[in-house]
Amino acid sequence: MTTAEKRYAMVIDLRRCIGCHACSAACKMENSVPEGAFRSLVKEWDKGVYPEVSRVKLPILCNHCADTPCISDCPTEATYAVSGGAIVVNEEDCIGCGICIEQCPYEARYINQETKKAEKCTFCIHRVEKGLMPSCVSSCISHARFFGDLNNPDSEVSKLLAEQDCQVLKADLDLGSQVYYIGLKKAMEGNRLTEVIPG
Amino acid sequence: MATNGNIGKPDINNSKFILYLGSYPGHAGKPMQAIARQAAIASTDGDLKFAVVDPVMAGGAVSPLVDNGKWIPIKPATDGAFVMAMVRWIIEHQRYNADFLSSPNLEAAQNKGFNSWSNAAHLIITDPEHPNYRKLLRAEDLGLDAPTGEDNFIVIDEAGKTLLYTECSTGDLLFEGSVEDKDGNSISVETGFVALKKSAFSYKLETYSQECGVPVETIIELAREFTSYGTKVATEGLGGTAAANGVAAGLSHYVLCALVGADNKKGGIIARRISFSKFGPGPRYKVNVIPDAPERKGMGISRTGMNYEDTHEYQEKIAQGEDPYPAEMPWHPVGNVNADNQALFSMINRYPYQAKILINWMANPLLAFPSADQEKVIAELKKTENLPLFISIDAFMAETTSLADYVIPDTTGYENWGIPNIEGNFSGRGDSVRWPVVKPATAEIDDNRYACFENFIIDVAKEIGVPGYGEEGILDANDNLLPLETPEDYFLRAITNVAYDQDPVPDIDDEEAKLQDLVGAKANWKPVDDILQADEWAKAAYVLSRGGRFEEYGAGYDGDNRIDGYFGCISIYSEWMASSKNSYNGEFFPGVITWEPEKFIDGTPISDYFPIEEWPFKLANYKAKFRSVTMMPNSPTLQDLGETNYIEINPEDAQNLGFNDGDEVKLVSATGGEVTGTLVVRAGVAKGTIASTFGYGHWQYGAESYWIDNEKIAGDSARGTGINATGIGLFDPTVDQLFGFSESVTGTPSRNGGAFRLEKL
Repeated sequence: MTTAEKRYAMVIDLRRCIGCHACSAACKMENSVPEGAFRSLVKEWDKGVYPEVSRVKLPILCNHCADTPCISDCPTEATYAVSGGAIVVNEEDCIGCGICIEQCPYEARYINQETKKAEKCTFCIHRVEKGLMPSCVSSCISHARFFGDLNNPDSEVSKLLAEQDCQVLKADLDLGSQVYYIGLKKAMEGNRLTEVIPG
Repeated sequence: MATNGNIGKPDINNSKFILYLGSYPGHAGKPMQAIARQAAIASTDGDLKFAVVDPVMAGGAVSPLVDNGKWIPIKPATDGAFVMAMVRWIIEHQRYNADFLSSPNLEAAQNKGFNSWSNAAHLIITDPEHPNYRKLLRAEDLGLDAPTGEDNFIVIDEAGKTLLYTECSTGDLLFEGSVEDKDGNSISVETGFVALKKSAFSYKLETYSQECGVPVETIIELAREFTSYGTKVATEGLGGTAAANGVAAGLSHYVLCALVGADNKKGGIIARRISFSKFGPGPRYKVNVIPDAPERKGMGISRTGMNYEDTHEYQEKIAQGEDPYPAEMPWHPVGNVNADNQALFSMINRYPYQAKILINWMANPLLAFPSADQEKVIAELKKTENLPLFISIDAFMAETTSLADYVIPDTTGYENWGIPNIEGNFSGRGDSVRWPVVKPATAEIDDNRYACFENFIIDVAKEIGVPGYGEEGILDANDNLLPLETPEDYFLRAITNVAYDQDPVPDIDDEEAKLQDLVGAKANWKPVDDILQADEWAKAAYVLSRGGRFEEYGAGYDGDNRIDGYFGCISIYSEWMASSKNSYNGEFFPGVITWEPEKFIDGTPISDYFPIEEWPFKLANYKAKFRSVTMMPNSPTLQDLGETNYIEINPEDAQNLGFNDGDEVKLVSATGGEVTGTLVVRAGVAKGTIASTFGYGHWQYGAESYWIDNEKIAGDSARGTGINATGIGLFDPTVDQLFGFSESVTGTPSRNGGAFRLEKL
């Protein structure tokens, strides 16, 4: 709790991700995500031409965009950014209209069928405010995920952004994504020959 | 091979190159997490290179972003051809470490900077007329004086002198010729290394390459890498090469690492399960030391780890002048007597004897064993004439348990105790421990005692009067007999041994005990004061609170050597295997690793019965991410992540068949079983391979409803999705009885390989 405004961001090192889905499962338990839905997931596909084949593992979650349609298009202002830029939904104000789900280019939201409200990744802000890491970061078995404050030049994420070639998903949309990937450009090269369903 | 001990696993953090053959970094392994982290980080930030030679690309640490890690596709059940090609190239190009291999004992090897030794330079008797034909030459064969009661192996030194292996620092690795006994008789001999070389040179690299589908240049590249970093290389394999000809692949891990001298070296192979004293005569308690314990005797029902030639059946046939071969059912002399897959096929055939009681504990053979998940097998298992009494102790209504006469409810990991082994990838000494954090959900049978495996064993043992249980159960260090009435009587004392071994751990502080809720947990146990000495609890609790006791990360080395390890002889030549015979055709097994295609027990190649034109696929049965072999279909989170499994093939095979991704197809086994599933076409499957994960295809385990007394437990069909492809594995048509296709030497079941075809629905 020091000086300026914080700007939370996540950096995911795609070289290290092994696709174990510890993040997916930990997120579901931490946030009581309903059956059939995910706030955090790993997409995988085989890449290359036989026999030179390998596997891309791409963890996905809400990108906590700086300039996001889920805020601007919400008719009840239920979606908003908290301190640090994490984007959350105020359940009381949400009317479950689903516009944000249609507008999200990262397919990062869902309707909780029990409450009929929109839900999404919060960067585990309830943990972060208590000095913990988001559950997907602290459960990552290969230390592929990093989280911190971009406004602090000494943070791990600031250093990684400075030292590594990082990209964001759908950069052309220019939404100010705060989820950065090491190795994304190479991972996305070429055709996706096979979609592999997790498991 | 039991003679090679429990050698170990790659020292990933310090290694330069690791060949994974039958295990998969980042996808599976023991422990999966540590291997994944070390392999992913060492190959990204460090200079570790690795290759995964496997029919199935399962992702894990293999990534297009990591040039240091590669997947090499191989046809299922041809790993033996691949390793023999590597061995051939390494020998042919003299890339092996001759200094290591020529060291015939540990001291000689250690003096040259190594930390293990092999029998590569030991002599083998190759004269078929000699009474000890195929055995290693011993001093007694030459009439030389030698210590009695020991194996006095013989080597020839560089000067051509015949010496006891303990008296020689450098043996002649390439000797082949004859030696004279004291009466002047000549005995033809060769070294273990020469035997290995002959085996490897039986086929050309091109032939091996055709068999396994790995290009010659790839084999050479891997062999060159493996021999480019001194002793800082390793191999790893688990069950991924389990096949009816898998013995060569299994043993190749010892042989390849011995060719470079990597065992017990930093960056090489480091021993696993290096633990503190817990069982046996420990510092505080002598857990498992039972005065007047009855001896285990009799013959195991598995036909494994025993010679057919030692049976009455064999001896009676000889006495009556009959050809003793074939045996009535196969025997597997070099395997482990605890081979449960073989025991199942013995029980349903009442051979070599009738089983009277089967007690099953949390195992699910019908889903776990290849060839077992078929109506024919299940029908035999149900017959009371085959199995009069079947008791299963299980926390789940699993497939096998559903057939039991009695089910004893067991507990799960949060409700029970454990001291699991550390399976490697940690160089120090360590023990992990598990303690019950919740009250068991099973019935309370008396004060703080709940229905579970341990209490069942304790109560039965007390009832029938087996020593080591009840009021006089466990010895303390001063030989006082203390009660063994509950699981905590046993586990807390073993954990106390861990706490007191070497330098005892500190006492736990009260705050920490409170944070961990050890106080609350204790309330569900037998009072700790009735189990431990007053001062012991604070130390046992310190171990419990940390989930075990572990040396510092990075401990366990003395310079470049691992301190603890397997220091017995590594068998390049296995005398045990070489002097054992196939129980169907009476032929000796080879004493060195060799390439053989899959054969039925009488020696007929399976392709003679099931031509490849009709049965073009072999099965690769691999680990599902979100299932164990038989468990975990009951987790909703894991169901969400891995709803079902698939029948996966290579795009070229799909094109040849005219099949598409998403087609519904039938997988047919050459001996009759079939399952239907959804086709996935992807480049990460080797040609000629059906890839399918294990852990799916449940037909019980809560997938179906069942009744407990008058209460119906409703089934959940989400637990029953997918297929169990290995369950329809082959039966051996050369055996009269119903018998799952198995490896002849060790009894390993045909989890991979076999003969299959696909039909579109």
